[in-house]
Amino acid sequence: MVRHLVVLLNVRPFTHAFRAFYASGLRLVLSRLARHDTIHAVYGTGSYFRGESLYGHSDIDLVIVLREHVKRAEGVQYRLGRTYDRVRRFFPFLGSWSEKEGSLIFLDELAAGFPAPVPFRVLMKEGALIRLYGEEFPHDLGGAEVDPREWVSEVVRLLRWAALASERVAWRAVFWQRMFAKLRRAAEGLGVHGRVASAFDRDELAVLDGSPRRLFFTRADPVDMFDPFLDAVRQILGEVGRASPRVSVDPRPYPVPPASPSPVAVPRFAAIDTATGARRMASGPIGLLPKLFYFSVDDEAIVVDTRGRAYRDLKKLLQRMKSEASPGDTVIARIGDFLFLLDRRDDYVDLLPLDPVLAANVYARLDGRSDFEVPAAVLGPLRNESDRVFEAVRRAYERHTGWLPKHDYPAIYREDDLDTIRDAFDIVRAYIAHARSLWIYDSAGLFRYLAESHPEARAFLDALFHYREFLRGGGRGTAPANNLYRCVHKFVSGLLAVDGSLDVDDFDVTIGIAVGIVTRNRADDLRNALASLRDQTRPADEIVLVDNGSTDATRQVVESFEHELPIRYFYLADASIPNARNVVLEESTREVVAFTDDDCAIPPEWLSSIERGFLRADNVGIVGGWVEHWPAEIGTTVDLYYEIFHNHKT
Amino acid sequence: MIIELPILPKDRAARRYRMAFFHFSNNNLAIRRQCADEIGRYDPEMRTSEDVEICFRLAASEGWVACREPGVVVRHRARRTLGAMIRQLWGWGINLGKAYRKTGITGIYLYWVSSSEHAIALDLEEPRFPVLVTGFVTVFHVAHVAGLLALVLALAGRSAAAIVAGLSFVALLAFAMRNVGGRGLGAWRTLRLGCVAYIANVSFMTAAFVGGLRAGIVYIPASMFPPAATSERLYYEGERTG
Repeated sequence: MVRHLVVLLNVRPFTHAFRAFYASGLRLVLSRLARHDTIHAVYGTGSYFRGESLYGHSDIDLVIVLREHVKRAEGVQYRLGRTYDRVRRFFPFLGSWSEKEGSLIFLDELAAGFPAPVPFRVLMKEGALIRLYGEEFPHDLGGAEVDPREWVSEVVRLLRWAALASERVAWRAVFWQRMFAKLRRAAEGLGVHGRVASAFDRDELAVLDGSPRRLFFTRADPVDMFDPFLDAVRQILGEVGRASPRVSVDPRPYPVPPASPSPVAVPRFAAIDTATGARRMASGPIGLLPKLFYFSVDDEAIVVDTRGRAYRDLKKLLQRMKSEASPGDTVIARIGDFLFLLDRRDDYVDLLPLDPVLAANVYARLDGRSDFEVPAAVLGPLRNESDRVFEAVRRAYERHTGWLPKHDYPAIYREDDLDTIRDAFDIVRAYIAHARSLWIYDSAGLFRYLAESHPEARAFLDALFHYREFLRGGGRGTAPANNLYRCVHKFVSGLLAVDGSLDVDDFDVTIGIAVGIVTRNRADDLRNALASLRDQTRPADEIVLVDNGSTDATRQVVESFEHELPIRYFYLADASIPNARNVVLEESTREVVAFTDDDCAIPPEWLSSIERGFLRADNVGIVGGWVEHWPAEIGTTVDLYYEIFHNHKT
Repeated sequence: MIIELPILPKDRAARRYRMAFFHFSNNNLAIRRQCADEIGRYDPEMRTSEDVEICFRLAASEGWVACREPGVVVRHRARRTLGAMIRQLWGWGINLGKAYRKTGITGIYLYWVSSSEHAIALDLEEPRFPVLVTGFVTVFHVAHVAGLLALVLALAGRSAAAIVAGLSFVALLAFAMRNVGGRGLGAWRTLRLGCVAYIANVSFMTAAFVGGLRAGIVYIPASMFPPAATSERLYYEGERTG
């Protein structure tokens, strides 16, 4: 059946018809994307754009460059994705958006000094990108030639792509033909092609000879294809190590080298443990480059050795991670002597090949060595790029201290302080490894090192460490300090600056808060509300209570609290609610007025949380939160309605 | 950092005129004095929804931003009777139109809110129109159009067409309110909950529509289905480099 189709498709008029059909699909995508005012340019890459065979559409890729006013945090990528996926319904050959998301370039980040993503740099320098829409790329990509460090990253990217390609794609021989061609091109770029020729000359790969047209319909088992591919990658990277003079990197570990890993029970990911005899590797930096997302493993990483077919083992591990691991779990898999980092994210498992060149430190650690060697040709560009990244990070932190950017549409900020601290200290850890050649293995060690080397910030670091523990424990009770968010930014930008000052003594400051309550004829409820104000971990500086014409025992309730709470009582005969609230604003003498109602119960950390919100930045005008439903003693249907539809929890 | 968008907007040039403003409820809202001085105090004209209106002004201001903070949670006592609930929801809706009117925006901004994602699926944005016509249309609205059509057709004597329209009214309404079911409440309590939720929605939406007309705009509020929990989808994780 398929063979007949091939014959049919080879007829020239059909070829033209299909090309026209695909071209119209692409035009539709582009015209829909062009409706967004966020796009600077759209580039295309793939065999289709080089006028090659009709069957080559599975490798079409689009790279979208976003204008400078677009920030990653605005979530534009999701909106573009929706547009794209709507068109893709009719043109499945384009591949899903989730495969493309890495192909978004934010000019804003490049302008801030971050280097362009390596795959983009390689494609651009190779001339493989064809501008389909928009303007010229405005930045210099650092030289016209692809440098060795970029080629090594490209090889790693190809490996990741080969491992993660969907089943539909990975079963086509044409996919593997292309992957091997790309790998061969990288070997040429690295100048090791002659020495790894045998890797591309194996018997298993005979199936990949032939025109793409034919191979599009040929099935190739990825289990058979992946092993030679991984082997070729290993040979190429091995030759890179041999070809260039090697620089020995002898990092000083702090405080002591990690104990050599021994087989231990792995509590969090037990299934892997029992099946394969997993062991643990102590925490530490991953790779030599400040990869902002994956830089370090804070708790121990689980190391899994497998001995089966590489592809099958990887897929099995990915599947297991997805079903059994919890977000944040990290597994390092040693498959055919090659390391892969599997990282369980919120709703997917990410896979990062750790190559022996860019992640030489991890290989050394697993062998129980602390020193390692890196080819000089790779280390030089790597160091330059790291310097640029740290400078860009420093500027980003500096910009973010005390001022949150205002978006030009209504949006609410939500900060996860645990994330902020983790990100900040991943960067600090990377920076110390980079600039001071000092390897720090876990967060506790990092805090200890920083407190020793920067005694002027010791009190701040103590508070921060306790705050981290406090957040890990669920964030109930009294937080150790309230201005830590701003101080983390200050500290990181100060540490990354050459002569930066680490002046962070304002980590615990106060801001005057008045609580405003407007009440009317709810004496019983008011008693509850005032009682919960009395139990605050951070007491109110002032309570402005406006009695909006009550005729019940409100006055007596207020008097009963007057000796415990700093209440100022105002009686209005009959004012409207906004007028009563304005009276609160007029009469209070503090910097912040926190409004609540008489029929609300307030948790003890309410005021301290509000204070923390305002201290985040000088331009925080309003701090709010959630309103939970307070179930009645006797549940009615009305109460149930509120519980379901008006119960906004964190 | 997570940026929380009130409802998923598509990007266009005139993003200032985004109709989905956010708001914090006044029983759990803290404001900086300097901010209140700059954007203005509560508007005495707004007998209810004064919190919505002040948040609109903050969203339109030059530099001020809003934060949602973990730990800033209050527990609020619900209304206990059907009458009190209707009065409360009527109060929530009746002054919303005034708040929109005060922004001074004119034009036609209509959005179709997808019932599965609670996000804007289709939009019509036309700033060149002398009055403000804005709204978030959901399946709940469409169901009522079908119901109205059934009524008109029945009065016109077209019984077959009226039955078709009537059946689609029931089907669409059941679809729009599907979140009410599936809670293991049993048929009788689910039916009662459905009736209460229906009454609540209709009171809120009627109030907002009538209030809009009184303020001189056409405002069609979104129905309150699906429940707030599904709006989690609208939180975006941003760049993590600070």
